[in-house]
Amino acid sequence: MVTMKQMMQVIACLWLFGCAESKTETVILPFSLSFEGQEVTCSSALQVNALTLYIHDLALQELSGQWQKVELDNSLNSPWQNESIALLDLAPCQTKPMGLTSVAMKVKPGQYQGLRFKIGVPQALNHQDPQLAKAPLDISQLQWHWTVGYKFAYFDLAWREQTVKHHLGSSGCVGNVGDDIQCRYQNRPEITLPSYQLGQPIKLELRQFFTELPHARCFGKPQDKGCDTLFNLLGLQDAPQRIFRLGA
Amino acid sequence: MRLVVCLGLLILCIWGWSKWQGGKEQQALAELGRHLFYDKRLSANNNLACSDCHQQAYAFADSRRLSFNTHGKAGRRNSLALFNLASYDSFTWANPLQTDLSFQALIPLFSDDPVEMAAPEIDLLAQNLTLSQYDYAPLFDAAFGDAEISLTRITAALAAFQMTLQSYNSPYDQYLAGNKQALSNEAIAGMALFESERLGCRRCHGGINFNQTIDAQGRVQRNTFHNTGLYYSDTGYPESDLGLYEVSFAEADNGKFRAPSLRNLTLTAPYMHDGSMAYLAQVIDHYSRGGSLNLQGVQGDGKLNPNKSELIVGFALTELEKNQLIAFLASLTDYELIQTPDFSAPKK
Ligand code: HEC
Ligand code: HEC
Repeated sequence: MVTMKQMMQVIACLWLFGCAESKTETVILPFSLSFEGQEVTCSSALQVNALTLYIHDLALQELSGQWQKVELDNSLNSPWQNESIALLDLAPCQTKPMGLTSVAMKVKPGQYQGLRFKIGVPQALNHQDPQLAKAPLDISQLQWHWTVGYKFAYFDLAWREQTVKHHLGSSGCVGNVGDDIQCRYQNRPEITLPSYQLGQPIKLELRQFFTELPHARCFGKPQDKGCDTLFNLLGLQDAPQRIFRLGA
Repeated sequence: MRLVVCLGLLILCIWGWSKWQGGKEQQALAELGRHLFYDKRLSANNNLACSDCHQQAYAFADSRRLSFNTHGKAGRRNSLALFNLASYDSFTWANPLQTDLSFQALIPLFSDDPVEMAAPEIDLLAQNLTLSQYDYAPLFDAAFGDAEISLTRITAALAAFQMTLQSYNSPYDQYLAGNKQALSNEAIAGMALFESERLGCRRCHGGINFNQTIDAQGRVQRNTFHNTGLYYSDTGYPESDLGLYEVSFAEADNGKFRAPSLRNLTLTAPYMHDGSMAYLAQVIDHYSRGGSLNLQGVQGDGKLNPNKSELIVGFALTELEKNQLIAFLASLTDYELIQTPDFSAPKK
């Protein structure tokens, strides 16, 4: 027999849950570029020819330490994001951007002490037939056809005599197009920013990309010399990532 | 009884009609694909069509060592000939992921490493096609029932056209079909050499299209790639192209490539994935030595490459035998392929 008390508990639970569900507010998470601490503009010494990122799996950390999954607010009907994935295009002053400079998160009111997200396209979507893909995965330029996936991050930078060209994505893949494809290297960096407060912007510090190599390049092939630096900076090797920082 | 016969006839009629319709649709699709294949408007600068790197006169390869892209820059691989494509397990020189011919077209269209056609996103591409010398509305309509231009439609049509590129009418085919005059005695002697275990060519160039790997028990092995000992530099193969290793990330795959068909060879020179061999005689010297020394000025002896297939062991060949082998390989050329009007550029 279900007691009255148990029933009340269930109802209270449902009510609380439903209530909490419906009461989210939209919090904007802005992204921008910096170079040696200075904001990157179109007249900066650093030339940004292209810089795009896919991000997904956003979560906020409550004071208790619990991580709460965050959906993206799709009410604006942007062609660059849906509930679960957003495409950022951070190259300054473009006439035709290919993505957003900020994402809108649906956040339950409360206090938080951290933010995390993944760079890339989730495994379940990464190897779909890209010709049938929905926004923001329908962009041919960001599809990585030779390895049947997506360019999770795309960097094309120039500074003085040096260039940096990187395509980040899953590699070492086997399988059939439209079928199951498995990759030895997932290459989806998880970025965690402790002490994040709602409303704080995120900055990408790009100076570190310019290493001793005059032309650093990682296009997803085993012989590409630039991959080590790229993977290291994004936290794909043992050390934590060093590109993403919280702004004021 | 009459009813049954009538019904049967009706069903037969419907079946025949739908089959005929299906055939017509397939034809319309290939015809659309032919126009797209020859259309420079699929490239960034309106200056490069599929047919520029895949020319009918060269069995749909090109005569260059490396092909040139829309910006006039050389790529890193030798263009592949296009015919009997259904006989391959995967497309391109070394990529087992490319199992779908429609999908493969996205690489030349959009790749940025290397850049080939650098086509714009589909909405701009569709706009660009409306300015073409060809009138696409009726072509799309005939193939799909309406004139809408989409990427899936473009790649499906390109694939349909490429599947029509059949090549089975070489002197060798005629000889197999019973015309004993089709091959010279020299070519017949060369065929025996080619088929011999001593030369071992058939282990990697098996089957009617000379592109299947056959194991020691005579079974076909699917999706197999080989290092044939072209190079042995510090990095194995020159870093510009490591073959299958680039896709698989398995070091044993360094320098492995797909064995291409040996049909129409006299039209598809230069040879190998990087166009590093200009003549068939050079190819045979390579196999006879069991690997190449300092090929293309790349220091090192490919014969010693640790990834080299154990099937490339070398063999002695007299000058006469070499000429016979070349005569046989030359008998695999089908001139019908390069003369069929249905495969050539459509009129405006
Ligand atoms: C810039 C020259 C160039 C252009 C333009 C070009 N291709 Fe290619 N094609 C190549 C080269 C080079 C290869 C070998 C590529 C490789 O192995 O990575 C190739 C390979 C192929 C293959 C694989 C054949 C096989 O035997 O596996 C197909 C199919 C193909 N191309 C179709 C097309 C189509 C369709 C177009 C037009 C949309 C096109 N190509 C445009 C140069 C070109
Ligand atoms: C171990 C497998 C193997 C054996 C045995 C083999 N081949 Fe090949 N062959 C290949 C592969 C793989 C390629 C492409 C290599 C590359 O481009 O790096 C090739 C390429 C060629 C080409 C160039 C084709 C083109 O379109 O560029 C010719 C011609 C050829 N082989 C003829 C022969 C002959 C003749 C024999 C026998 C003497 C032979 N092959 C034995 C695997 C093999």
